[in-house]
Amino acid sequence: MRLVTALTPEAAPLIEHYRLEKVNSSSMFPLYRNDNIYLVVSGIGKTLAAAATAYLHAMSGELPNQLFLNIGIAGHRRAITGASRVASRITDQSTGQTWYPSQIICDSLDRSPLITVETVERVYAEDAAYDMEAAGFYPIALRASTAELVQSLKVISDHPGEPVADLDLQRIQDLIGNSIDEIDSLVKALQGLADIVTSTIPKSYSLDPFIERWHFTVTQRHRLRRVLERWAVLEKDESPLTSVPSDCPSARDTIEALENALVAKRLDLHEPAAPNRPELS
Amino acid sequence: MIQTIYIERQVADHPRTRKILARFPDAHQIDCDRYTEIFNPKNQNFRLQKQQPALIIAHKFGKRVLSAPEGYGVGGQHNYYFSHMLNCIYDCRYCFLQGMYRSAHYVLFINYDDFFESMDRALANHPGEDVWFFSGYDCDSLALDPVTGFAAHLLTFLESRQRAFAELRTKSTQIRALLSVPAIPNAIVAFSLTPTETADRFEHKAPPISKRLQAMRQLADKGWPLGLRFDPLIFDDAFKNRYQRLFEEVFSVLAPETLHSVTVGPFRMPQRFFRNLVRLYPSEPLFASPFQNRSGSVSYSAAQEEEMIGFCREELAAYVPPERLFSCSVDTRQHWNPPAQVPQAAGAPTQ
Repeated sequence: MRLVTALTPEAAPLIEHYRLEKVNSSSMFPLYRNDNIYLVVSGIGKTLAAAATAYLHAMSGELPNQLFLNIGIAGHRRAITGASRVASRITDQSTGQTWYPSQIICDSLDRSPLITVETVERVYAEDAAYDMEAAGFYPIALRASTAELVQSLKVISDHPGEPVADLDLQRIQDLIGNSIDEIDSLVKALQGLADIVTSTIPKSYSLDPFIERWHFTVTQRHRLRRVLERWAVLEKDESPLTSVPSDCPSARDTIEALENALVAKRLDLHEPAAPNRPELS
Repeated sequence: MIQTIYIERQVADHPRTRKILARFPDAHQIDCDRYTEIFNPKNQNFRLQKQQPALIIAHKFGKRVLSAPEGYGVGGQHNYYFSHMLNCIYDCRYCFLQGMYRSAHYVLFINYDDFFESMDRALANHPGEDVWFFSGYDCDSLALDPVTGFAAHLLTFLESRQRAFAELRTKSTQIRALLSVPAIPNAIVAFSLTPTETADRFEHKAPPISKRLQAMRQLADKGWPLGLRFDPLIFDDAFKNRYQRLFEEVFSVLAPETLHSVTVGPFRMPQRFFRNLVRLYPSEPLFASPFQNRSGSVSYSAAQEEEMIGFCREELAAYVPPERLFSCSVDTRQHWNPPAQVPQAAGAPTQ
């Protein structure tokens, strides 16, 4: 999981909850981690949020299909201080650009449109949450992962009757800390989705035993990879090497031997399939 | 069932929109400019979205009725297709929609009248001739009909246009709109069927074959012309046994005289779509089958297709006269009946 917060008080409850430790070598942005979770503190504003999100992706190994979650405070027109809201729509107020975060696991969570502004919001003209980072975070996170695994959750900290000037660092920390259960609930739901995505990573036999013995062109390697992927699905318990004669003269003949061996094998597509997807919480 | 509804702002006040929203009072509503903002972006995962598809209510601009591919049809000379809806509530593992679309959300175009206007223009382009309109390419024609109410509008349109023929392709048992009005001869309800074990294994969320046959029987009893669509044919070692039993089951319920047409078509799909399916479900044995790349499509070998179609032809011939049997394959376009022998509306008979 990759967490992006703007402020240290927003990060503090998450650092404590997930037992993250500071990565001392980080210089551009404060970075924290445990075995599975990385957190970056970006600073205020969408430019820094975008930069920090990209930095986070790079520093965490650029792995595909990771959860990206932007957590922070936001203002709202309604007096709902302390309430958490998942962004149903993110709009960059200065450009008008709009994104629609996936809502597929959000039915049990309260949602709100989110408007990213350049300066602290004091007018709250629309019935929406107002922040300063999401429109920077979201498009970058989208490049790093799949849309369904990228979300922005805001805890409402100010409204027209309770302006942001009244906020202090401890109050911000308390607001996020009091929403840890909702945050965790969202994280677990997203993790359920991520588990489905990781289950789509194809398993295959290694190409190495083949490319060590025969010369494969690039195109032939693609064909070999595909037939080995098919082999891994259809013939889990039998090594494909057993179907290739040791005196097979060429890469092309090797591929054909494998493909012909699969055609000759018993094909039963109606065995009970593995469960399509784990239950979402 | 539907927990998020996106609404294009321009249709927010449409009576149909309000009616649909009233059906889902607890759904979270999100307004947008165009459905493409949600439906088109890259980096979406169709498989994940199938967990909980949203509904997008939109207005269809541009071409609403398109010419069907060359050779597509069940006996008509002039063939068109339309999609008042994108995506399907069922989750059939072999479905090409997973490969074609980035998003699994349902898009409903509520400007039905514009579709019918386009159909009228197509009819005007072929004065005095029958024209076919195929529904069910991008969605199941009836599965969401309780929400959309589209079928009732289509039937009203067809009732006064005897040259217009429509096929409603479906796996659904949502046939109330048809049972509540007298049957008309130019609306063919065509059910997609596979062997029960195949349906259980691959056709997630779709009604079981027995229920579809029950629905077909109810329609037949009311005089609705029916179509049988054995498509896709899926091969494995028990293919012949499974399809033999399927045909026996079908014709134990349906009288052949109630059938307008029967088609068979082996599994086939554009290569690009198939690659997406494999990416989504790399452990699915069906996609590891010994398919070939032929004429830009992934399909069984020509010999395999011929064998599958030939077997089905032979079995079905015991029940259905040959002039009502059609087939489709990737590059042979073989058909059992030269156009001259096709009753009613002559023409190229394959899908």
